[in-house]
Amino acid sequence: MGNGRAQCRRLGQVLAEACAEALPKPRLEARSCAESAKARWTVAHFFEGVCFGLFLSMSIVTVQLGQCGNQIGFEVFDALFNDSHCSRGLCSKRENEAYQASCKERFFSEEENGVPVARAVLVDMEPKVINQTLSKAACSGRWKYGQHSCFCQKQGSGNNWAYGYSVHGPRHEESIMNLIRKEVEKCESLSGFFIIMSMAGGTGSGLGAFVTQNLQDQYSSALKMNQIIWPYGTGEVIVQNYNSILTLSHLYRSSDALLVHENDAVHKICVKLMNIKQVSFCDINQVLAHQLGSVFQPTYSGEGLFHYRRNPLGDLMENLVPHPEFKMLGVRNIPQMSENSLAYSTFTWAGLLKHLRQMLISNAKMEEGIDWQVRPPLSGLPPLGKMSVNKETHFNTSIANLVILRGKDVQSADVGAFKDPALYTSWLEPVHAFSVWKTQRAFRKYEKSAALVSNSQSLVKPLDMIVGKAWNMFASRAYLHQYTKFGIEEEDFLDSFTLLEQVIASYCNL
Amino acid sequence: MGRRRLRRPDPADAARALPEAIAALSRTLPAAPSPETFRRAKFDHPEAAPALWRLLFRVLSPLPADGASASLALEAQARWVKSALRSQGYPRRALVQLPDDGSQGGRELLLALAWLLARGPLPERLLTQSHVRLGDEIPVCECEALASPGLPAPSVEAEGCVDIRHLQWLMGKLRLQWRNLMASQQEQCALLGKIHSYTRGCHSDRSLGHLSVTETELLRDPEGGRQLLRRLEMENAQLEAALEWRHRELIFWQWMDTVLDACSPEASPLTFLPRIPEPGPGAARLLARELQTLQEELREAAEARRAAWQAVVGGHGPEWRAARRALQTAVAQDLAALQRAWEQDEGRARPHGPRRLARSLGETGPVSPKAGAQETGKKKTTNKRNSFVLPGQLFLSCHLWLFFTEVLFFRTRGLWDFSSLSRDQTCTPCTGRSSWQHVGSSVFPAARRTRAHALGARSLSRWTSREALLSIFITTVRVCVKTAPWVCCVLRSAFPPVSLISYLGFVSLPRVPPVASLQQQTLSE
Repeated sequence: MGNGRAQCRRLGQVLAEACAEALPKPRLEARSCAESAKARWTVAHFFEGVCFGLFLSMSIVTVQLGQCGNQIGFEVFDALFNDSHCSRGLCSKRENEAYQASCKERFFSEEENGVPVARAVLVDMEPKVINQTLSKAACSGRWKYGQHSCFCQKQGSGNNWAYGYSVHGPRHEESIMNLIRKEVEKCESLSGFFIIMSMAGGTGSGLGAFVTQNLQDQYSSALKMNQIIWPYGTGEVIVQNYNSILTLSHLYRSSDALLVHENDAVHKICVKLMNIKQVSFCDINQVLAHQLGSVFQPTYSGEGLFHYRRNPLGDLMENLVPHPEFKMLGVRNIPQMSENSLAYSTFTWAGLLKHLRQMLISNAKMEEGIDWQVRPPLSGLPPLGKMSVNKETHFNTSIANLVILRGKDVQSADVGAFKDPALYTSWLEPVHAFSVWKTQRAFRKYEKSAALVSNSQSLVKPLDMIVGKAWNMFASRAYLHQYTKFGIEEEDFLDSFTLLEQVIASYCNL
Repeated sequence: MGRRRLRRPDPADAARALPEAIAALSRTLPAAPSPETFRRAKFDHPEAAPALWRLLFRVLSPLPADGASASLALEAQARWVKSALRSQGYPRRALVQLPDDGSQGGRELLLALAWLLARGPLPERLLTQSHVRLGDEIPVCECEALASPGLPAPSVEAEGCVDIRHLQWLMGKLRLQWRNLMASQQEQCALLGKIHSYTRGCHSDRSLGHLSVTETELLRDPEGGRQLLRRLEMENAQLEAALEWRHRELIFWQWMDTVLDACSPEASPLTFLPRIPEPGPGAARLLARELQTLQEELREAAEARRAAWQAVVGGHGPEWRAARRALQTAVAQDLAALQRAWEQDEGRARPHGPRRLARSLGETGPVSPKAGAQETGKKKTTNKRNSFVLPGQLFLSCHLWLFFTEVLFFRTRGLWDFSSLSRDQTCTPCTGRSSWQHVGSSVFPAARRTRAHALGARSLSRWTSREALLSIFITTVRVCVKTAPWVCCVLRSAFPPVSLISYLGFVSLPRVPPVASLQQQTLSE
């Protein structure tokens, strides 16, 4: 279909010339039949192209920042591309084509020679990772990054958020924003930005916060979703808590949604579900890309409709993060297993959804080790009473949930269990708080799979922990001079603390 | 013979005139209720009520009714009609007291419909709503739409208290939807721009230079072409009905008098009085008094300050006073000039409502007359402007007329066949030319004239020739109205419904002002 696009463009030009020549001149009658036939043929083809164009989906521009962002970005694009070109789609050829076209239009643009080019901008302050990423993409031979879509420098940020935010940011603002603008101009229609970054480092987090802020200024009507990677609890970096609170508080002001992945949780998935002995970052990133792919691949736009959703980013945000105080999203998916064991497993929708629901309410990140004791509180209780009960039972209250189902017999799946008002806060009815997306097309090699994007209390605990640790360090003024050196004052820290405390409080008082 | 008839109408004729008037009205209205419904409504037969509720619903709804709103339950429609009429100031209380189930109230509804008809140009508004749009239109100035009262806001009665977070949630949702809408609109603009740039040079009208979406669709899909033709025919029929209705209006109003007489006066306390907010327990009065004292205080303070200031400034002597006077006169002159310019502007027909979108042609295309006129600046007189506009108007009108007659003509002869455009078919040998060329050749009055001559006017069907005559008449009137206001005055005195006709001119022909070099500012290419 992308081919149709390019063709349509070329034909459009031919057509314009042909028509401009052929029509408004009085010598019309003298023209030969053959010429007019040619013009007609061109017209017909052109309209075919236009028609296809009208039904494609809106594009998302991905911004990959820092080492972490670039590595994950590559895996995400690879997962998306491999899934859309997977032969085992378990659906009709026509539907598969529509699915592919939808995915391609959203995340890839097409160049002259037909190789899809990711709609992405790569930014890092060190050349190493970007070069690796570019060569990996080029090696795959099936898709690639744009030639002029990466920006790198010679010197990193040294895990200092302030350096990324106040030094690298302003210094390279123009070139980075130019790259992004060029990428945006390639889109027929822009749905929004997907910004991948870590939370605890220097370049990804500091520069990421800066770029997000700039995007908010320059593209205020486009949607912005930040994919942030929560650091390991046993930190890699001593100042990771500082970096985290600064990143989170700045993003809370400028982004529309924060999609959070915890390194700890994904690591556990790798060990327990994927049976990987020595977990590398690459494994973690692949799991993560799998989860993201299962959220962002095309789904039907409505019950009983068989065309794909045009603006999934917009729809997702409308369902999950309309409230400005609740922007943190978590992703869970089921089943997740290594390819070897996948061959010997079968699933039923009822079983998958039952597990998924329990994962949600007991705040488990994976299907292993779910606490089946957790039950939703009786809905008759007043909010305050409900809260105290929740604390005892570790019940995870949601604000809003989105379930995405992919695979065989998806129409028969019953999601009624997610519509229980007890799952949600008292001020939102399940009608507003719950939505489900479906598609018949299987995701990767899973015959049936379900993903859940939820805006819930599950992230309060880790957030509280990070804020607590950061506060302890802040109280003893540890490492503060590293930040004040680059213009991040105590005042800024205090602002960040205040904002995050408020977020924690709002999430606690659901 | 005819004179005598005029003086003393045949009773049989009069008896026929009323149903014809009502039939004309009902054909003008959407969904065309049968004239019999009106008769039944006069006698308050319950079987007329549902149809009239539905009719009023469609008449009152600000958008052309789509499937969703038309399929609303009768009860909901009735409630909506009541509140809409109320918000427009309909005074009769009897209507509000009708049951919500829509089973009763034929006569009241008839009165309400008549009230709407008498109040403003209702048929005209409805015809504008349903008019077939051939060009891509964009509203230039939406002051009219903004000034109209719009729908009564739907309100939900909340039981108990509402959590503020719920409201924030809904508000956020609205905001995100707004952003989605904006993204879609941008996309639409981009696609529109693409269609316009790809079809550059295809349009028969050189001042436009490109096809609109409807025209493009017409070429792409032969079935769509037929549908468009059907819609145009329907619109034509409606316009004819509107014209007829205007002629026979008087009879209808006489009949409506009898309907009003049929209402028993004691049936209801007649009208609403505009509700005056009752003064609360002295609160409002207290507030007003406070406001007044505050205003007085303010005035006193300002006077004192001004006096003090003048005392300070007054010491500057006569040269200062002279300078002040000079300044004052200069300001007055500027103001007068500004006012003159404003009044001149007022006289000019300002663009309102939707206009056809046309990509500017750049340096290669012909400069549109109006653009040239604007460049010459303020000094141009009104006459000069008209002389610029007239050829364009005439040309366009002629062209459009010819185009439509061609469409109609070829339709009757079965030659207007868009299917020959599909790439699978080869050139149709029967005409010796492709249909594409038909479309193109309609620009050329010369070519057209020879063909029309060859085929002879006789072969046009009766319907077509009537259409053509109507079209010529409308075109002429329209050009006249545009050219000289006094012609309009003369016509108006001679022929009352001329306003409608000039209006019809606008509706029945696609709106292609020759001044349409409207830049597509929204399209960034």
